[in-house]
Amino acid sequence: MVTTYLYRLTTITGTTAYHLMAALSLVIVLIAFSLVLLQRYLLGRMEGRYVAIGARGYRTERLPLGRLRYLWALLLGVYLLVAVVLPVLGVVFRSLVVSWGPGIDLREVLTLSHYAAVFQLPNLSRAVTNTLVVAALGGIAALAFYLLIALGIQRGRGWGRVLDYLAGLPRAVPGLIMGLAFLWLFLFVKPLAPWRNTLLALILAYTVVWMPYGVRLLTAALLQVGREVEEAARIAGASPVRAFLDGTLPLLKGGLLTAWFLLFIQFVREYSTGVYLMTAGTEVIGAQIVALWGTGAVDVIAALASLQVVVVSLVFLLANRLGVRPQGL
Amino acid sequence: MQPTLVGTRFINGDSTLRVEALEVHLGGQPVLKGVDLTVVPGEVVALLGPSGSGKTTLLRAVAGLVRPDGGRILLGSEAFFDGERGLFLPPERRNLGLVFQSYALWPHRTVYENVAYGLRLRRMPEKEVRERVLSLLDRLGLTGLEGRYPGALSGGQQQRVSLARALAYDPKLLLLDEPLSNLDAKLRDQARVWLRETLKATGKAALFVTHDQVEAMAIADRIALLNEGRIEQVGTSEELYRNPRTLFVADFLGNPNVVDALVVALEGELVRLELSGFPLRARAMGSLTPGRLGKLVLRPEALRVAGPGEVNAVEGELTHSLYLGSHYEHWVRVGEAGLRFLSPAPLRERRLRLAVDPEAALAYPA
Repeated sequence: MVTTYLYRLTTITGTTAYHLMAALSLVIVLIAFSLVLLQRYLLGRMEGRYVAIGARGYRTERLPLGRLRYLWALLLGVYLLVAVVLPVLGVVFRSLVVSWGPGIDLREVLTLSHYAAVFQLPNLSRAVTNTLVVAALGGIAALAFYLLIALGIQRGRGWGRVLDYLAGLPRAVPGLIMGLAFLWLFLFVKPLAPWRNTLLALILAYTVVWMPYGVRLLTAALLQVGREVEEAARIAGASPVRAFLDGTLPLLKGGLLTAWFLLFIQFVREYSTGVYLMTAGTEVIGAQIVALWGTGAVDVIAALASLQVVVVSLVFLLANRLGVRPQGL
Repeated sequence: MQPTLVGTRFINGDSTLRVEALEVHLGGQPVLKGVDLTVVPGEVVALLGPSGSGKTTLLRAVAGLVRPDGGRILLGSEAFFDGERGLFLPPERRNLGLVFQSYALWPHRTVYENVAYGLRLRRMPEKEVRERVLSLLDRLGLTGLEGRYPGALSGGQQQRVSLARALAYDPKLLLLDEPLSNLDAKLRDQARVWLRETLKATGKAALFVTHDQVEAMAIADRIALLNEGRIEQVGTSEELYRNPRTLFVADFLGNPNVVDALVVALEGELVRLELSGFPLRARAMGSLTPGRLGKLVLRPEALRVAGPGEVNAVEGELTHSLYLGSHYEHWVRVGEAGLRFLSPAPLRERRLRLAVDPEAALAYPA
């Protein structure tokens, strides 16, 4: 993968290959941008075609699978076991033992000491709390920003299309490079320098990296709310902003909540963007794991990774409890 | 500042809606190509026309939801839109009521809150809001439903809530977009009468869009018939039905027979034609040229089986007879042309002579 290759360019060879990285990322940006253009062209304009919630609600149909359903269930079960359950169990298991291999007695190696280490070492425990802060609060900030962009795309006419392309652009930039780009930005633009050592730097970078994803979630949510509820408010005497807040926003609540949960999960999982942006005090789990990998601290990595899995799973369960049906995951 | 309700009553002197030479383009396509229309206070006017004729666009332009490209829209002395001066008043400052085709009720608000919304925006004291909303709901037969959410209402009730919401803040002009199209057929017949009575009772001017000619005729004082972005004719339903100015108007109202006929000679107001070899006299509805083909419009109800010695008649073969409950519908082949007409009783003869009064037959240039 290009991202890992780029990372190696600096870490393994030991030389700073920033110029190569910059050149390579520009090429990637160009390729991806032309693909984005192609996608736009193929999709055409979506406005109006996917409106599902007018003033009257909607319903989805079940697809009857008949007797084949047991076969499907089995296939899915096997797939999930191999692709998800076993690897995750492996990581969790590794976080609970001192060492493993053939001929080791489980009772002797079982331990919680790795977790204790995580919560005792300040940089690791900070990584956990920072991750939660970035995912929760950063998620809200990013969402507010994405919502503005999605509105611009939906209603900006000619400018909306330009905005649409621009918002899709970060898709072309690997998180690692985006992190690097922001590092340079904070280093070389003096007014921004004080922000470098705060979580804001991370939140900013995450917001840009996940912009295509988040904006897509919100444009989809916006498409589901018909324009007439807002027009009705305008007619009744509300200003454009008021009409949006009173008419569209309440109907958007479900979509926003879903988007926040999905974004939260992505922010918790994100590892590449933080690698260069991380400073003492702004560690996050994902980037910390990457940094620790070089030191060979497999025990702590397994514990951190398990914590990540637990956080994401809990949030996922909570989201489901609240009736959020993540469709775009 | 928003005009207060008390204020609007004082400046209510003249509130005639005037649309002048209005032009609208949507997505680069011309949708309205110079439309003129006047709606006087208390008058109910229907915008009638086939789909794509621009009637909904005209309504939305008056509401301020579509920005026109030229012309003027005035309500009384207040300009809503003036192409020359580059003036465009946003919808929230026009103080109009609009009933959407989908009703567009806010599903997260109760009936009461839906209706009260416009009043609360105008900062009316909550006590007055309550009085107004409840009396309005009462007038529209919605008493006791104020706490319900729109999702728990029938289509007819939703429509009335939507009307109540549009009427709540006492707008000078009421706009309705296909107000009855979401009701089922049986309910629609009753709703027509109800809507006409309710609109007239408010004493407000109303402009409503419909593609249903019966609905337009039943509810409106006057009908404006639109075709391809232009107004073909404005008038009472009787004027439009009896004296359609163009072939389009004659053809659109009442599903008549339209057949080709040869123009033989002009006789003042009347014209002599030949339909499949039969001489016929009809009203000349435009500049007809002898020797050319014209379009002859024969309404089914104007045709009757000819009595002995009756003139102005054509002869043909009966091809179909359909029993439609209240009457029979017959199809008669006259040469190349098929003519449809109605009779209360079945017909025995296979060959028929059909007579029409010259005043009831309309001839247009092809």
